[in-house]
Amino acid sequence: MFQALGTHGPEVSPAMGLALDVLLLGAAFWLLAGPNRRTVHDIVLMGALVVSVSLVRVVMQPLPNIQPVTVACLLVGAQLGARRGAAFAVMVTMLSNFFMGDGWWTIFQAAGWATVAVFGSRISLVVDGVYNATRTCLAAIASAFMFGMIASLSILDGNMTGTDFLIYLANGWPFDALHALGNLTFAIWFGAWFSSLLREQPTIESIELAVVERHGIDA
Amino acid sequence: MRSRLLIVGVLAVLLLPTTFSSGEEPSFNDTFSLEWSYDFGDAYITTSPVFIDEKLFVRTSASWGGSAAPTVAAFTLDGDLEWSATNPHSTHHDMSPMFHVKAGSGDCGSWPDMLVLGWSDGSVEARSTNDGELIWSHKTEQVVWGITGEVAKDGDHIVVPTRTGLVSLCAADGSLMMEATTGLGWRNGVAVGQDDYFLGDESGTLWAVARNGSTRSVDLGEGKIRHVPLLTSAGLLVQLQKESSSTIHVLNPANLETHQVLQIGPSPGIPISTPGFILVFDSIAIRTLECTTTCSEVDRAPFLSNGEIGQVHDGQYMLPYNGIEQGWGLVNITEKGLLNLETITTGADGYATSGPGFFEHEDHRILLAFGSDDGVVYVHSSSADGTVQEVSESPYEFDWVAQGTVFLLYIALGGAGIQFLRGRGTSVLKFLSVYALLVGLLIIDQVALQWSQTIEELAPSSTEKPWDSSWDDSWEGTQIVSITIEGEMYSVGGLSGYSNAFELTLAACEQLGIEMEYEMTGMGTYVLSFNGEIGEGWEYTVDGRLAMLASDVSPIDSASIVQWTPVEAR
Repeated sequence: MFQALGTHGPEVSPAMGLALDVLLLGAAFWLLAGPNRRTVHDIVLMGALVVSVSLVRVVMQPLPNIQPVTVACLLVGAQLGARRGAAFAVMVTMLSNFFMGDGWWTIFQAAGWATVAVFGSRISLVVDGVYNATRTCLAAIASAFMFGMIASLSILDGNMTGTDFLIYLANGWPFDALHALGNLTFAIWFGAWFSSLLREQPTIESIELAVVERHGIDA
Repeated sequence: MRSRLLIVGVLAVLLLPTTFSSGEEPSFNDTFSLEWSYDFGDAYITTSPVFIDEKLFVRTSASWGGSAAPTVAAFTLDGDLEWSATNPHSTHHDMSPMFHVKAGSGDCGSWPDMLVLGWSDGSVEARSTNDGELIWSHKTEQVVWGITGEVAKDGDHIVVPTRTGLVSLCAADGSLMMEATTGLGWRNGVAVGQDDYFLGDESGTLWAVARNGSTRSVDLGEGKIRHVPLLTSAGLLVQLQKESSSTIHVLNPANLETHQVLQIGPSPGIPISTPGFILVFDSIAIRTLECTTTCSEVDRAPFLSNGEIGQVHDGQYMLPYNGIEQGWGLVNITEKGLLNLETITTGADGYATSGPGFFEHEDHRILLAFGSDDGVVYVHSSSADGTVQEVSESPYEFDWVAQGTVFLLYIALGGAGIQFLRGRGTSVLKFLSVYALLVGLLIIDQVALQWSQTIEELAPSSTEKPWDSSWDDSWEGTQIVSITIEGEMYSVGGLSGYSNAFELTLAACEQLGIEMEYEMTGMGTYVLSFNGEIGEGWEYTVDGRLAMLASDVSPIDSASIVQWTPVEAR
């Protein structure tokens, strides 16, 4: 299964790689398969978001630890909820790592961004449709360190002591700080716009229902 | 009003980095232009042209397959040939630098202003700088070739490193005063010490020759010594050139004991002393060393040069790139020994090894002469007041990344200023965040490096060092390196004197016969492969702990164990 251990953790065999991909995809579909029926609009929106955010991540790869995915996960979680936010995180990680390099670390990156999405869904970044820019900026900074911590778990193996892991984490702090700075920039520039893009649009059925209820028309 | 002034002040401070980055000195090509050139035909110029008073002296070496005889020629500053002398008996490798001796007198007589030339047929000549007339000559032994090293002067003696040793000649008439035999030498320049002359040979032996001709020697190991040993505060500095890397040995000149070994790259050039620092260079980098009680590397810049280096205007140094990719390096050393390296085009570009000639006229006009492997000498000059003489057609290289980043920094700050004046606080933050991010991207390499070094110093050291049963017990307490290639561990121990993991690994590879590929980045030197094995990358441990720093900035102690493994095999 695990061929060897490396800087990102175990080097996975092709069979194990396939199993991990299946696991991640399964998790994404399970998260998306909620009790509510998804409209075509929902599916297209999610697909477009996954592709475009993955593309931005791949394009920005040369910049060290500038991660547009983090703020995107935060806001998707805030606007679409924890389940869809986590599914979004898993799919973006898988798709972008397909181009940037897949491996054991993909699980931890997916877990890291999924956690950020859940975090975004719990801290009231959008209340009654009103976007809270200050709170988003603070959450974006915190998310960088949260993601860094979770993604770093991929390095753990039987040979590494707790002290070694702490030293490894501490070495990454300048890059976590840069990640935070990048998140802050993304949040300031694109947070409000991206949040409005994700705002739930009322369906025809819900509009009709609202009209009927207002005018007291019996069916 | 007061708060606005405060913010304007803050913005001005933020602008400082961009001001510094754009406030550069005028480039070489803005200041100098080609004055004249002279083509010697199918010959090499492998030693630096020399300006003496108002003349330029150039010597050539025979080229492989060429017919031009090795020549010494004198030119006026305007490029008119005044005289030339050839040596038809000379062979290839006429690379002994021309040595200028000012007119003087001593116990053995008096001599005029003259140029001492060592030839590859073993002859030594003293020629008048005025008209090239032969003043005296002396013949030394030729074994395939003769004299290739740099001559020195000791009082009224001319000290000449020969193919088989060293001779001391009277400066007045060239009569033999002393002769000593050493190992066979090549480019074996001689240093004049307080009690001895020092020179190396092709077997890696350093020789100390007393003024009475008695010799002492020390074997520094397998390798070649191809430069004038340097006398520094830390001791005698000698480079030992090996097959795929080199070492610098710092010795006590009194007893020839080595007390320090530093690792450098392959095919080192001829090092020189500068005020405060030693400049060494090789196929990998140019480095500054600070030598007090010991020598330590201060800075390095990637560059490929294997011949000479020379001082030019404004306390700067120039050396040729020994390849076709770049021209010449113009090196500026800061007070702290940091290197600023600019690459420029001189005409004499591509596989050159000779240093530059430099002359500053009374009217402050600066002349620089560059010799090429194509046998052409190019003389550049600045105008009398040092300003631009004419627009040169230099291939100016636009640094898109640096200029683009500075441009974006200005945009970000300008945007912040405009938004501030419009009273839009949120927009000010938008632009300032971009500015901060750009600055962060610019400094992240150095910050991360410094931070990692701090952690390395603060982290508790490993209590239990790894030990492999196959290792020799005598290695205990010494520096050990193991490299696991395709499942097989190659180890070497008993090493000492290395200060970082990279130097130690280079030395180990040399002993184990392993070829190591590496690249230099802003965060240090990274190992790419051992014996061509790249895998998923290489990582290393120091005393069993996974290293977080590039190996050349990872300090080690006198008993460190460095273990390299491919990422797949840890």
